[in-house]
Amino acid sequence: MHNKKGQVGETVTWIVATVIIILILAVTLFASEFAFGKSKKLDFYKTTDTLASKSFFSYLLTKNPEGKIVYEQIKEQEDLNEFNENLGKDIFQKFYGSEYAEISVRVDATFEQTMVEFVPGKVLETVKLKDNKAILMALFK
Amino acid sequence: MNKITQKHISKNKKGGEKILSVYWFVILFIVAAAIVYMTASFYGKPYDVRQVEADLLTNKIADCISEAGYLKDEALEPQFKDDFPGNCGITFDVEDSYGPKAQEQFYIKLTLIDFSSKNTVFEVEEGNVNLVYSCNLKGNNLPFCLTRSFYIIDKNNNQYQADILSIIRKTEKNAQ
Repeated sequence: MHNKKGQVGETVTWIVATVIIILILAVTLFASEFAFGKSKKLDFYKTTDTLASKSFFSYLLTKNPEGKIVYEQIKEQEDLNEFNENLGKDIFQKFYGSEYAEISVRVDATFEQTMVEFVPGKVLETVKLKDNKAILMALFK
Repeated sequence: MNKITQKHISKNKKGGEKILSVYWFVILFIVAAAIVYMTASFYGKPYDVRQVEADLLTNKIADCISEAGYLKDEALEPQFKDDFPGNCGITFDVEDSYGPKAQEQFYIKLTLIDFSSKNTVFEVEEGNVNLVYSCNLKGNNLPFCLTRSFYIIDKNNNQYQADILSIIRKTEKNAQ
């Protein structure tokens, strides 16, 4: 009678253990299938954007109706005028608005030197104006 | 009475151990099978590198037509159009495993549009044109399409919008 009790206890223990083992396996199988079952896309956050940078440099070289390039105007007035602001919106919002959550082109008054930042999803491009000022293009995912 | 009980205990223990051994083997096989399945599901699927490839192709085309913020003069000349990939240093060579389909894996198109009037100034394309039709489709095992634009001016301050469409097929190696 005593032996039977011992066997029953051991069997119940192992039945419960089996259920737990199978449950853990099922969860890991489901997780692996969910996470890796699809094709593995190499989708990474860029820290540089060649096309946006090219747009930025061409933007700075564009002449306004008076024949002055955007860079010169910003360097003199240390701010964007109406023409530059509208042109910037036309270019950056239109071309990159769907790719980036936040886009800004502005004068940075705390510029020291061009820094290479490895911040995921952040693209920065700067062109020095004078002193500690620079024109900055920032794109955030 | 005591002796009989000892005998029974011994026999029962042996039987219980045998059952447990079988049980352990079953568990071992279940765990091994699960590990094999998880490994296969992770390593069995290829890495899809076509987005990176399309990005590189797009950047290469952009570099080819622009220099220091200006549109290259030769980009608008007819000779440039005649050998567009060659002039940009692009080859469509792929792995031998693609066999006769090697040349059908890529499509690139460059469109230069007047920024103000939106009129097309220049257009050039190369590669497998049939891939274009799959760009608006939804599903698995389809070619990867990437359309990007950038702003560019020429030395006379003419403003343009450059649209680049890059399509990579290579579904066998990237999208199983």
